[in-house]
Parts: sequence; C-alpha cells; structure tokens
Amino acid sequence: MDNLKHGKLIRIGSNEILSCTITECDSENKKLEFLDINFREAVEKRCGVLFYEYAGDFYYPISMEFRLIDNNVLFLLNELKIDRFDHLALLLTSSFKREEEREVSFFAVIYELSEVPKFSIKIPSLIFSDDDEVIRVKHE
Amino acid sequence: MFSRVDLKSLYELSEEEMMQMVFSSGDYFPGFYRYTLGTQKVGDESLGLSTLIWLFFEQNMTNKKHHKEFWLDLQHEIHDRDVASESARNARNFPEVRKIFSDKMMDWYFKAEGYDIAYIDTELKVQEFQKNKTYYFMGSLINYSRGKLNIGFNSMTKETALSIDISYEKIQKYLADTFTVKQIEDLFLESEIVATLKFTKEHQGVLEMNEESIDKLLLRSPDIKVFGSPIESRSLPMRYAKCIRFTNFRRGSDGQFETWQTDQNW
Repeated sequence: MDNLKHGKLIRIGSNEILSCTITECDSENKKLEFLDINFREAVEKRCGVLFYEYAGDFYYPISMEFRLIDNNVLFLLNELKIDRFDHLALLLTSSFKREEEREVSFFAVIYELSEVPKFSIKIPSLIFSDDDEVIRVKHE
Repeated sequence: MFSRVDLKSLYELSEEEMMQMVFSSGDYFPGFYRYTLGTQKVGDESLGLSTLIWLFFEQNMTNKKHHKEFWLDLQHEIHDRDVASESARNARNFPEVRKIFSDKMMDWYFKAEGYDIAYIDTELKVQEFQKNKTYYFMGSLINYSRGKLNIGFNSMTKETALSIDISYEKIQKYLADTFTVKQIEDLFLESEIVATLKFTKEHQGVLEMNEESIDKLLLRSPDIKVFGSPIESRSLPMRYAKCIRFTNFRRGSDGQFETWQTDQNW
C-alpha cells in the first residue's frame, strides 16, 4: 500500500505512466482506495466515481476528470446530458465489456460539503436510484 | 499497486497539487471516450487548417456560406459507422443504453448552436512547454500566460475553464522531473482555437476568425487538421477529448469550394 499523500494520483519523480481507478471507499476513515497500474494490465472488477455534493447540487472534481483516464465522466454527464447514475454506470460497464472484455460494476462516492467545491464542475442534473450503490461521506 | 488517499486531502488540493494532478494524467491510453490525436490518422476527408482559412476568405469576399449538413456530413458518416459497429458488436451488450448513447451523441454534435474550431498539430514535435503557447494535452487545451496555468483555454475569447495560480518555473521543473523527452513529444501537441462556426436561421455556417492571426497560421503545414467542440461546452476543462470532425472542402471546376464528396444534395 502506497503511503504518499495522494498515492500515485500525482506522479512524483517518475516517468512511469500509471492509470488510477477508485476501487473502494472506506467511509469510516474517509479514505479512497485506488488501483494504480498501467491500464492494459488493470484487472479491477469494481470502479468508483467520486462526486462532491453541496446544497443539493452535484459537482465533479476536475482532478478525477484528468486522472481517472478510463472514463471521461464530464463528457457523458455534461456534454451528452446523461442524467442518471445507473445509465452512466451501464454505459461504462458496457464499454469495459466491449473494449476490455471485463465485467466491471460501478459505485458512487458522494462527498458532502458545506461550501462550493473548488476545482470542480457543476453537473446540471444527476439522479440516483435506490438500486445504485452509493457511499456517502461527510467532509469536516 | 494500491494506494489509500484521504478524501479531505484530495478535496483540499493546493494550486501546485492541482497542476501536478493535471499533468500526471499524461497517458498513451486515451480512455473510452477520448481520442489520442497524436497517433490517430485523420484522412483527407477531414477539414484542414488551410482550407478553413480559404473558406473564411471566400465567405468575406463573396459572402458564400455552406449549409450545416455539408459541414457535418463527415461527422454524420463517422457517427453512422460507430452506430453500425455498435450494433454488430453489441447486440446483447446493453442495447438499450447503447441506443441512448448513440442518440445523445447525435444530439451533442448536431444540435449545438455552433462550434469552436481548433487546429491540432500532430506533425511538429514539441520540445518543451512554453509560455504563451497553447497545447493539446489529454483532450484539453492548456496554456501558460500572465502567471496562470489555464486549463481549457480558448484563444478566441481568452476564457478558460480553470485557472491555476502557479509560477512557470514550478511547472517547468515538474514536467522535467516527470516526463521523458519522448513523452513530451508524444503527449503535448501545439494547438489553438482559431475559429468559431455559427449558423444562421437558414442553417448556413458563418465563420469567425481573428484576422491578425491568419498570417501566422498560413505558415503551418497544409496537412494540419481542425476539430470542433460545441460552444455549449466552453466551461469544461477537457472539451476536445472527443472531437467533432468537419467535412473537407475542395475547389470545384468553377473555382468555388465544394465538399469533398459531391454526390449529396441537401
């Protein structure tokens, strides 16, 4: 387990290209687990998508748009206007199946904030259903 | 192989960490909904920079404009090809959601009120990230000017989706420590938004360009292609990850521009 503050999300002094994927959320300790690996060698079966929530609105962290290279979430939510998490998850699942021949399921992590999040983009509309796997964590 | 990151520290990124996060995304794998333009072959059917400039001159001199369907003929073809390939390969792979995706893709490019058009130079090898120059990097147009790293920079409007307050020296050092010379060449491409295409009520395309910049653009390779992004996406940091391609035009026997494929009648 890597102990750097931001794991391998930030490349420090290394030319090695690693793709990062959220694989778990420890809501008790408020930590995300990332798999850091070359995309072509990735084997994860579960992928998380992180959202910020403030005053009933959802925001997507720009850091994740850049760093989670296997999904271009803002393109799907803000440009294509996909407005349901289950549709987003199905699309990403089907892309993994088609391109990588892997069965992958998706879950959402919602980080609840008491201020407008910086370095993030507001999502026009996003609906979660009771069947979606959603992990909520409060910022303190 | 695994790392654990505090949500709080991820949320409270400093300006320097945000800059590092952006550049850490440099990767040869583009992602499912992105292109790697550095390696993608784009053929003559796709609009090039020099033809775009001549279309602009022609519009200014003769007021000649082209219908939206002409401009997007190639993109329709690409879309239809993608849909056909989807149907063939994914008959049992979530067909209902792939159908939603195909429909939304078409709405995305066709219902746009207009497009910001950027050239992306895949021929010139970038040696270093320079001030006051814009680069295509992982689907984003990035530029350093006036003490800020601008992510999603629009040279026509001077707007940016995200401005990071950081010194140029810190960026230079970080890039030198993180990327090989080859990675810089492959992952950074000179690029800039050089035109806007909007449509009249009759769906005739009207080009806008910054005339002072045209002389400099004409010096670039005639083979450079241009790509579009809907005007509605201006606030997004990575709006050229999945680009819109425009139909190429060529001069017909009467000296006027016509589309590359002339057998269509809109």
